[in-house]
Amino acid sequence: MAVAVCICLPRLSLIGFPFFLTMATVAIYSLFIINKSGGLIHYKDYGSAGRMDTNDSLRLASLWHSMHAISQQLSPTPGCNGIDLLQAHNFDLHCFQSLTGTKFFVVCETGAPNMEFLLRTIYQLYTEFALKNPFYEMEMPIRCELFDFNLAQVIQKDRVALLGR
Amino acid sequence: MQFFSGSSLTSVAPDSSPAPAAPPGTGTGANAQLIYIFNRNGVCLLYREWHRPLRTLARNQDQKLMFGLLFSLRSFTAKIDPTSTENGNLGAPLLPGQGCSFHSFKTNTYKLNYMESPSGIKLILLTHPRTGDQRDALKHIYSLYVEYVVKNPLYAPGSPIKCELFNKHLDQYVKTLI
Repeated sequence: MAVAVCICLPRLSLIGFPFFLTMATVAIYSLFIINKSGGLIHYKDYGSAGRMDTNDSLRLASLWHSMHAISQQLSPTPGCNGIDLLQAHNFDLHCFQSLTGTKFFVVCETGAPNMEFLLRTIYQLYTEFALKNPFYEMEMPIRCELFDFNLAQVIQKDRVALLGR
Repeated sequence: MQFFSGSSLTSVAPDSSPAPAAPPGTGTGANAQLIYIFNRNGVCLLYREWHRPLRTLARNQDQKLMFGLLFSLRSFTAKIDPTSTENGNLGAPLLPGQGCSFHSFKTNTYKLNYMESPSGIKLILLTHPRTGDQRDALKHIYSLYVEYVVKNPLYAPGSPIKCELFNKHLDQYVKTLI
């Protein structure tokens, strides 16, 4: 289903996707991307109150990977694909898993709308700028400038609109 | 503090208290599927199922896995909480009110609603994925537990619940959660 979305969209220019202008205006605290084995390949913090060092972010990523898998085993109905949304008292966590097992999850404010759309946009950026980059090694941390640049643009549009920063 | 905020927890007389409003109907009447109640040591005090098409693991293992998942999820949410400046270590065990805790998670086939009381009693209700917020329903179930289990002089704390009145009222209440 996620693959079909990529195919249906018209040919995109490298900078300035037109649909960014309709993005939800909410505060995102952080973004994690994990590969199919649970290793962290991208982590960006956009305004958490506490500091988290690299080791902690690695541990949280693999912890999430395992819990996502365990939640599938505990399902009372067949056909479970893992946790989509975790709601806590101070934040929400939205997760999107691609067909290949790469997981994108974002920690945001409680009740933030349109996070699924944001996650799919980030998935598209990942396919465009990381996967199609011939120098990017699969399952390794993402070190592609265009990916970082466009990701920052997507997130920045939200923050400027809402928070005025 | 998360436990006591929101609707007040008055004691439940057997017939009087108004049950919290049922969530918008998904129509089938079989909304709630399972309930687990654990105490703080991981002993499963109650496991009741009303609608469970798939059983992957043996009963015992299923309960242990559920407890383990929730234990880790609590550490995870306490650590990843973006609004608190001081998050403890990932491995440190957490007290019942400590750190930010989650109240539900949703997958495409079920929604897990979770509540932990200050005494460490964990209530888990699995429902249809499109159910609304069940925190009030869980508080009501906790008050049923207090009324029919804790106040039962023949019940030994820490042992599995075998109180008929509790089961009856629980089933009745859960049927109203269309």
